[in-house]
Amino acid sequence: MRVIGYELRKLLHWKKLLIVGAIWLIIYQLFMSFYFEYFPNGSAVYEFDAAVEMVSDYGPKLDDEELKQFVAAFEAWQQVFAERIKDDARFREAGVTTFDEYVHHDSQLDQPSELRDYAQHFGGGAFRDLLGELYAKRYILERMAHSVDTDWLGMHSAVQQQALQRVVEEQQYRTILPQQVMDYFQMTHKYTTAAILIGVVVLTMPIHIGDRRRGMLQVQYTSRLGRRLYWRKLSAALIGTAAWTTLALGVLFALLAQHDISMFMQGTLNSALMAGNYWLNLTLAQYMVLAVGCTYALAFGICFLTLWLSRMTESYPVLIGMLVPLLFIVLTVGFNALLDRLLSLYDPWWRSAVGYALLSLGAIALAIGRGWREQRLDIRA
Amino acid sequence: MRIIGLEMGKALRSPLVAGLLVVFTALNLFVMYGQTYQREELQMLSSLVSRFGHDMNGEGYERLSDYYKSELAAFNTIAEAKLGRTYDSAAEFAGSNPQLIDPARPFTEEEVELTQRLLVTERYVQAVPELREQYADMDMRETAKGMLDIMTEPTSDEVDRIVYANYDKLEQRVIALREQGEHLHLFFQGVVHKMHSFLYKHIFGLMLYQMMLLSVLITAQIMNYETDRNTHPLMYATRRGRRLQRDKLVAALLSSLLAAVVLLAVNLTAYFRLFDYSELWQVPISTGFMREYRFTPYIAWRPFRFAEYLGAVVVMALALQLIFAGLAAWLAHYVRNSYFVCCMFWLLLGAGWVVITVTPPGSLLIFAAYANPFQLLWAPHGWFMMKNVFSTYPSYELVTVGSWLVIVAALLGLARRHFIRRDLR
Repeated sequence: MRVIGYELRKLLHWKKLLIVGAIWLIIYQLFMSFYFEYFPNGSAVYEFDAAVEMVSDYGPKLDDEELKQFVAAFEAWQQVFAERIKDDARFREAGVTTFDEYVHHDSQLDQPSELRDYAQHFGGGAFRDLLGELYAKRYILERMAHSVDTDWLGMHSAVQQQALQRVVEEQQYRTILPQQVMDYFQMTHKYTTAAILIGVVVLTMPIHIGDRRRGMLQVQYTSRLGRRLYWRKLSAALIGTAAWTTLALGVLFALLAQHDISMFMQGTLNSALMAGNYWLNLTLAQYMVLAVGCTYALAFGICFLTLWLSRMTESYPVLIGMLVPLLFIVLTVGFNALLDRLLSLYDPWWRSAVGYALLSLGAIALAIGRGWREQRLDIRA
Repeated sequence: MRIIGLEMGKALRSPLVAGLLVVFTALNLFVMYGQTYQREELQMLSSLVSRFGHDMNGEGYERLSDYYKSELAAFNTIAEAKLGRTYDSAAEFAGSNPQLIDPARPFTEEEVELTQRLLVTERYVQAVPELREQYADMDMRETAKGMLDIMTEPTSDEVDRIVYANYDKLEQRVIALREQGEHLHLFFQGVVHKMHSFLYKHIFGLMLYQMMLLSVLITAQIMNYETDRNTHPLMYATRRGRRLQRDKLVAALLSSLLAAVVLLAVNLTAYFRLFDYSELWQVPISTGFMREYRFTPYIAWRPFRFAEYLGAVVVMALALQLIFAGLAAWLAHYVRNSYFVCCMFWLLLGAGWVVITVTPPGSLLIFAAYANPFQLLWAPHGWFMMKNVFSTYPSYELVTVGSWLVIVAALLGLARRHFIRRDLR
């Protein structure tokens, strides 16, 4: 027990923690800060506001009755628009009297018409907001009505088609979860996981090499307690990894709380406002829990792998030379398959599960298998 | 001298260097193979260039146009015979008619090939007048103004003054470029093939990171070899032993360069065997055909030819490796543990990237922040060319690399003097 405590103190030495913290800061500043500073951003602001309104009026899911109410409300807003532009000469010249006409009036031209520029400045900010709101609501209605139609194109296997059929039948797409809210969580979570993994590698790397450099292996391996040191180190590495992952995730959720997205927690992944379709129709809250679980799985997998590699090599440059390409593969290919496309309907359902199983079980097998062999190894320098 | 050779042997003989070179080459080859599907169409341009040369100013363009017209006429006779109508252009045909992909089409294989060649030729022929117009309308001051206007954080007057002065110089260069007709030379069309960014950003950019990793690891291994094996009290107890640091430094720099040269040689040879650039070595790099997006052409500060540009980029890459190895060696003087040396180098890399996001664009420091060897790693396809508003001046790369070489040399000098006298631990 005490030995685990000592190992943990070595593992979480203040110099290493400083380095890990600095790495997290750099990743935050380069990649994550945008999502926290500018949420929601761009023209999706209108979509976000419209979705917030919908959730407060109709709850997280729209049934047919509520959809009709939404359409009626939308038409009322279109009337407001028609009233506003009724007396204006430019609009009348272009033959635009309703919102639908405004949307389509220049579809045959190569470039947007001058009327659009005029409309942006007409009536100041209030009119621009009205336009944005109308476009956002039109987009939402269109997605609610038609989003599933084109999704059939990507479904190749029978299982996928059945899943999409279920989505249509249960009207899973009628829930409200804007893609931007999902991106807000998903992107920041992805970069946090990258920072966590790099931190885990940095913390766990010196575990075995430190003792080897000081020639301690000969002393340790001559006693039974010394042989069991491998398991103590393993435990300390796992505890340290868990601590660092929990800390980093805690900071992530504290940062996420800056913007209130609690109204979308019941929105599900197959919502019409989301860009893709998913095997499991999880709510946002459930997805967050799943994502956190994935981060822990990845962190522990990398911890075991680093532990095993650290035992196999003798010098830091060689170890780093092996770990950097490994991290590169995990952070590019691995993240694409395991985080971005987790549960995506366009991939086979077993893909993410097999990926995680391979990584975790493989890493565990390597590290624990090595541990068993350590108990009987000959001592070599 | 012998010591330097022996030190180099220590690093280069380890399985680390060979292993990493193999892994990196495998990854690069994988990336290259991903683009080999474009080879046939690239071949069509090469055959055009071997017939008409790559200079599309004046006579070259006339001959290419005549060839295109004759091919179009030949195509139209076929179309008349088989489909009963003629077309104004091959694009019109391809857009209105799925004959090329329809297996029941009345065209023979030869006629299909003729049509495909015609489509490619047409693309290039039509691009020339478009480019002529675009380059005639180019106003660098407007470009600068546009880029400064959209910045989220405002710049100050002094910064604006310097930016405009730089872009005025760029305007002079564009005028010279136009007179020489550098923008009208045939090359693999960028909007379709994106070969410039493929070679320089995807392949070369990847190699830059790989070379950096190799340099840092080799340097850390050489500099801390004795410390890692606990023989440093023995080595550094004598005056000659202390001076070993200089031999190690030279060995580290030479080994990094050697590893970099080997990596570059193997991968670039593989690339140029896979993609045939045989007629295009003398094409000016500022040609308009290379542009990949309509509003961001590649405009180099000097009238480089393709081969000269490649040479300049390779030399820059090697100079960067010297800087990286030098920085790692400087760190190794103070931090005797190669684990911490590598970690601190990564922090330096991160700091080099972050510094531009925290420097306010209003102060003149923003130019210094961009003159950073780590910043150069982001976009090798823009080296020596017009790029970001704060890094577009003729001597940007030279200033960055030169000043950092001086800084690294000074740091190493200080570190060495410190090392010669310090207590051992």
